Amino acid sequence: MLQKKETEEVISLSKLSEEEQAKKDAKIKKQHRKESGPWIFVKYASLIIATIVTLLPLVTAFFGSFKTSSEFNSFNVLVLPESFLNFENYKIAFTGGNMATGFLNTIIVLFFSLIATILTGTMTAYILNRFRFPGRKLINNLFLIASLIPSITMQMSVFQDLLEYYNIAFETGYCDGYHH
Amino acid sequence: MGCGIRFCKRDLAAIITESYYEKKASSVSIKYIWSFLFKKRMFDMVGYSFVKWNGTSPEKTWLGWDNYVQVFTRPEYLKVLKTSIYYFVGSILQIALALYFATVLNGKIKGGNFFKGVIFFPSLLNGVAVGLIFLFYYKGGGTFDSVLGMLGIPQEVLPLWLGDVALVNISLVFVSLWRYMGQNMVMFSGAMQSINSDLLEAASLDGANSWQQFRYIILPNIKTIVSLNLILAVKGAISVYEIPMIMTNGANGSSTFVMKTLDTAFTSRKIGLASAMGVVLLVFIMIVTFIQKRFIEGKEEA
Repeated sequence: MLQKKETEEVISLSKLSEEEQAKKDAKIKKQHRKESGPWIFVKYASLIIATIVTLLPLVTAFFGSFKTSSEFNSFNVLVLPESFLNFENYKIAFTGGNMATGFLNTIIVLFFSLIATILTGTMTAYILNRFRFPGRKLINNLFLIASLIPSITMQMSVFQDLLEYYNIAFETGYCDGYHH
Repeated sequence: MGCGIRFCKRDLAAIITESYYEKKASSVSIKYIWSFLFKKRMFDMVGYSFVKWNGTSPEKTWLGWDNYVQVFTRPEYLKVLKTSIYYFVGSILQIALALYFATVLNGKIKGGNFFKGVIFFPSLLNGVAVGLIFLFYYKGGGTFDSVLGMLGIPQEVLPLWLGDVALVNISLVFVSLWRYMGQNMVMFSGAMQSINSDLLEAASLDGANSWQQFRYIILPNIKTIVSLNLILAVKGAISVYEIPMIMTNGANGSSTFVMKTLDTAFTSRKIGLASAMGVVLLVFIMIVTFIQKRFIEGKEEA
C-alpha cells in the first residue's frame, strides 16, 4: 500500500513537472519568437543589401554592353539601354578583339595542361600513397610547399626554363629564328 | 620550312646526327618531367637569390646573403608589405561576413538558394574581367558615384576612388572581398550542412538564441574549415597581384609585394634580388602555415 501511494505520488509529481515543463517550453518558444522578430528583418535586409552590392557592378556593365557610345556618354550609367537587341558591341569584341582565337588558345592550353596535370598528378599520388620509401615524406612536403608559393613569384625560374628549352630547340634545329 | 644558314646546317647535320637530336629532345622532355617532380623551379629560385644576375647574361656574380640584406634594409622593398595589412584586415572581414551569411542561409529562409547563388556568383568570374568591371564601377561618374548621387550625396564631394592615396587600397580590398566572399560562404555552408540538425533543434528548445547556437554548436563544428580559410586568407593577403595590377598598375601606393617582385625581376632586371624576395615570401607563408597548424592542433588536444 505504502509503496503504491509513493509511486502515485511520484507519478503525480512527474505529471506536474511535465506540465511545468510544457509551460516553460511554451514560454521559451514565445521568447524565441519574440526575439526573432527584428532578427528576421535584419536577416532579410542584410541578404538584400548583399545581393544589391553583388549585382550592381555586374548589372551596370551588362547595361553598358548594349549601349551605343553616344548613349553611353550622354546618360547616367544606371539608365537602361534603349534596346537590349543592340549587339553591335559584342560583334566588335568578337571580331576586333580576336575572341575566337583567344578561345581556341584557351582550349589548346587547357587540353595539354590538363593531360599533363592528370598524368603526373595521378601517378605521383599513387606512388606516394601506395609505396613506403625513403624520401617519401620529403617529396610530399615539397609538393605542399610549392603549392603555397604564389606561382607568379616563380616566373623568374619559369622564364629561365623557357629560355633554356628555347635555346635547346634552337640549337637542335627543331625551331629556327625565322619561322615558328 | 626553314631557310638561310640554319636550314643548310640542319640538312647537313640531319644525315649524320639525326639520332643525336632525338636524344637531346627526349632528354629535354625527361628533364621537364623531372623538374616537375622535384620542384626544380623552387630550387632554381633559391639558387638565383644568392647571385647578382640580369637574367640573360652568361655570368652570375656570387653575392651570398647580400640580396636578402637588401630586401630587409632598403625601405622600398619592405614598404609594399604595408599594403598587405589592408588586404589582411579585409580578408578577416570577408571571413566574418561569409560566416554570417552562411549561418543565415543555413537556417530557415525564403529564397535561400537564390541568395546563395547571387553571392557566390562573383567567384566564378575571371580576375581580369573583375578588374575591368570595377574600373568602370569606380571611375568618376561611374556606377558607384551615380548610386551615391541617387542617395543624395553631391558629386562634388566624392573622392576619386582609385586616385586617392588614402582610399585606393580600401577600394581594391573591397573588390577582393566582393570577389571571394561567396566562395568562403559556400565552403562554410557546406561544412555547416554536415552538422547534425538535432543538435541545433535541441539547443533552440533549450532556449539558446541564434548567437549562442552559432557560438557553441556551429563554430566548434566547422573549426577546421575556418582555420583553413584563415591560412588561405593570410596567403592571399601577401600575394595579391591580379586586381591591383589591372586596376591601378601599382599607382598611388597600391603596389603589392608580388608586383614589386616582378617589377624587380623584369623591369629592373635584378633576377637575384627578385628571387630573394620570392624566397622571403615563401618563408613567411611557411611560418604562418606552421603557426596556424600548431595552434589548431594544440587546441584540439586540450
